[in-house]
Amino acid sequence: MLKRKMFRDIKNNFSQFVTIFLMVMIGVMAYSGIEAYMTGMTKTADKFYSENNLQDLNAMGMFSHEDLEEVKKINHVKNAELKLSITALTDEDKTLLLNCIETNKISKFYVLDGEKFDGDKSGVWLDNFYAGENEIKVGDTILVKYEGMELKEKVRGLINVPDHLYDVRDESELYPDRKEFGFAYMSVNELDEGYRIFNSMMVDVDSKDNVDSVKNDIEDNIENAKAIVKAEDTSSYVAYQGEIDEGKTYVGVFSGIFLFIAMLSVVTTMTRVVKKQRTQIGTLKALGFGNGKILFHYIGYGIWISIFAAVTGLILGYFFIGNVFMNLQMEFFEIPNGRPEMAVKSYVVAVAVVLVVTLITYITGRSILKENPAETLRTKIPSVKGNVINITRKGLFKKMSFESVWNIRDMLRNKVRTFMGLAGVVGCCMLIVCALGMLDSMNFFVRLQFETIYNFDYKLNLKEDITSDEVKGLEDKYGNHTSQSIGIEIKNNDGIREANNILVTDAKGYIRFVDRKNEVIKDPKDDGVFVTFKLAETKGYELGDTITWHIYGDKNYYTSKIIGFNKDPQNQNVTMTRKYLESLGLEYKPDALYTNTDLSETKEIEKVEVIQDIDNLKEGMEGMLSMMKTMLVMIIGIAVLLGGIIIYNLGILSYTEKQYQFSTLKVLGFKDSKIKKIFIKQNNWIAIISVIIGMPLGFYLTDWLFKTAIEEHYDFGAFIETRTFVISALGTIFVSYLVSKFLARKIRNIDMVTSLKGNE
Amino acid sequence: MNGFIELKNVKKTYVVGEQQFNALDGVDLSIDKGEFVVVLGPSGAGKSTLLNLLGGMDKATSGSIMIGDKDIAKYNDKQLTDYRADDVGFIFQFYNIMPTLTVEENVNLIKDVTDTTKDAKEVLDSVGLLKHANKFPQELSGGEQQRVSIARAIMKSPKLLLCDEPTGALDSDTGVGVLKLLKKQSSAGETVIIVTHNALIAEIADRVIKIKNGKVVSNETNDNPKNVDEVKW
Repeated sequence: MLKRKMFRDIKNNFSQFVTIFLMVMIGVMAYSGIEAYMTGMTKTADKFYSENNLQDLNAMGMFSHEDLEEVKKINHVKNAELKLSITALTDEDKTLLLNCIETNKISKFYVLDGEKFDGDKSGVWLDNFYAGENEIKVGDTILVKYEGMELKEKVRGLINVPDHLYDVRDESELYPDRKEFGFAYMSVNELDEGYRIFNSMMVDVDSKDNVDSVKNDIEDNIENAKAIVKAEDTSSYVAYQGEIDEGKTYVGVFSGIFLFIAMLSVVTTMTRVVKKQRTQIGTLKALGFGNGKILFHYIGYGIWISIFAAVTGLILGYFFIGNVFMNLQMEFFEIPNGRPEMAVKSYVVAVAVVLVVTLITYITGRSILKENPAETLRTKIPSVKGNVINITRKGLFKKMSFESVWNIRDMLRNKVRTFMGLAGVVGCCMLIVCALGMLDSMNFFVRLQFETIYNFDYKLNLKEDITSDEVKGLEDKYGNHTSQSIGIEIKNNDGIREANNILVTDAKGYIRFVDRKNEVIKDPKDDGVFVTFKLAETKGYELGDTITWHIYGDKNYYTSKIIGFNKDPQNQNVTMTRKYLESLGLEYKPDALYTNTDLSETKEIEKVEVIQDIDNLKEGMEGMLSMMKTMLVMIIGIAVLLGGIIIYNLGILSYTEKQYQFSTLKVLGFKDSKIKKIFIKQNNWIAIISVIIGMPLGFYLTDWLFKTAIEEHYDFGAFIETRTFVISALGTIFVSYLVSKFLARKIRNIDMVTSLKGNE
Repeated sequence: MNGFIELKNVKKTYVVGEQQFNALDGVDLSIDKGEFVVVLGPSGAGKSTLLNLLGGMDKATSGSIMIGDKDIAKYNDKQLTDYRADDVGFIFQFYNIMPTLTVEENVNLIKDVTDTTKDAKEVLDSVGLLKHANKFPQELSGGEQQRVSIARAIMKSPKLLLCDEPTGALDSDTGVGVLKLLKKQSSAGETVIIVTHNALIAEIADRVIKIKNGKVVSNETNDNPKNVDEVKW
């Protein structure tokens, strides 16, 4: 019989149980969805790296077959392969990173269409994304141009490769432009004898534990190895891993907050639902029902709803959020079989949510059952300290309208309900500010990067073999604003070396230094090095400290004094002037030239590998922002939905609890409009207070997210436009008002007799 | 004294802040099996407290409450629950029936706590509610709801039927109908105790107990109880 009672109680309080269902479902959906996406990202990459044998080390230099054999003999080396990587152009002047190999046992292709690699066959295996963007199919022929050599190659396969998940032309590009830049592989036999040289070697080590020792052995024994980079330090790996690391913080923050505020409301509602049944609990006790039986009955109210909601949340999280987020990433990273994967943690959270709901029902039920049946049968008046209510009889309060004083007293009498409502709306407002603020901040940093720090229209990436005379010739034509990027290792006090790079600038105002306040540093000094703020914070560098470093391929170490800090949103590195580099006795060999000359019609310049248009770089960044936007819109959508549900739920709770008082007011002759005003006023107050608290919290959350969640090489902070605060505040208040208005319609239909009788 | 119900020096003290308040202050009582008892007294006299103690809904601070040969004042919570389930039927002023169960289901609820061979439909028939068996409480009048409460109470054939202002929310005619049902139960051997403000009901009682300030001020048998039909208020 009690089961029937339960189902009918649920039916009679349908709105409340639906909101409980929705809040649990949204909380679990947000958590499990983002977790499924993160786990999917990790597992997809792990599988691809392991099945397709991503190299453990990548050695750069000029290698012969003898070097290859020497490396293979090194202890713990499983295998090694030679590769020639060159930047070639197609007949449409698109850039192709062309890799010429002999065998394909390391970083094996995942062939999406076409045939497997065969060193004896002609033709190319082409980047699947690039092929898609340029509508190239297996069997088509493409033209590849390099150093005056032209190769017509048939496309043998469309591929993904584990060390090409993410490829950009150079570090100033933030978003891969798949239409203009791609990678291709072919057999080295396709090249003329004279070109069959190798500038990199991929090394497969037997165990992760031995990677460092093999790296040291190669450095010590292979003279041609100029730089050796671990797979974990390559841009493709770092970009993908960065996305996972960022996501992990989102899991902890966004989904955690969603879950937390949802649970706050669920707990409040369940407590209220059980407390509302107080007299019925008393009656059941009076009839001789045991405490265990009554408790079990009430636990049923929460447990079934929360189990159903948690399971729905898990399913929707996986199929909706997990899939959408994963698909977005799979448009960005070139990796096969990307799919979300349900994390064990999500099941644990779902079970925990059910347990919390059950526990709270149990605790509430138990607290009522502790009283004797005679007490339980009496209606409990909310306890409120006299002096708190007394305040509302004095001073300013005396001048307030009836509805204001009534609402203040009601909020003081129902502090928990008020607090939970506030907490829920604060949480949602905070998330909306944060999500919109992230977009603002990203836009701000695009401007900082491409308008303040970069002060040029075109960047020319110079070819490696360019001579100083040829540089001079280009400088005469396009201006002498140049820079050089040098791969280095910084040695810390414990002797551990970490990969980094130095930007040597002779750009004369075309690349500018900015300080903490994003203002340009005028006339940077040249008796030491500048270190980016974030790198300094991470490594604990102070002004006047020294750093010890060496250039890849050069065993000499240099010690430089830190003479300043600069902010760089994209790269955390060391910067020095050409004058300082030369003062160390090192030769300045520029690899980039910056110019404001109009090159919109120029496709190719001799000895220039790539012409980068700043507008294209900006567009690339905007591409990345648009991907972020989709994710953030979903987060905003969930925040608004959850906020709306919490406000609705709060409204239902307060409406149900005040129905008797509203009936009395009606009996006394109050007009419906006046009663509605009383009801809406309280919810409006809660929304306004929540907005005041939620906005600064949203700012701090955004700032914290950017400072901690984002990849190590980025340095972003919160920069939120006033407009965003206004939109978030008005949005929250509007949703609250709308929901209150909707609920207030019920006042018109209050049946005075029934509700007054019901209260007895 | 050798009644079915024996109360000896029963006290019930409530502590509010630093103040103590004796709701019952040394009550001695004896009630025979099958008696129809009316407890009268003004508000705050201790009538409901007495009823709560008799029904095992509250515990006495001191004294003994013998029901048959058992002192329920010494019962723990578990024993009190069993006592309420098996021996006591309650009828409340505001009925306290489950709003989400139908009339028949409310009566059958008793089967969840005690073994009874009674048929809910027969019981409902006996209180004149068979035609309303499938209705929800809110579809019934106050008198009908009180009859549901009576049907639920007598479903278990309680030894003791305790009624807290059973006619308090009803008009005279409806109240008389309820009293008739209670009287019928008493005639069948159940002990019925009614607490009320309404002195007129005392005229139909076998025994009238008056309480004031937590003390029994009179306990008299009524040798010539009136017929229920003769009562009106």
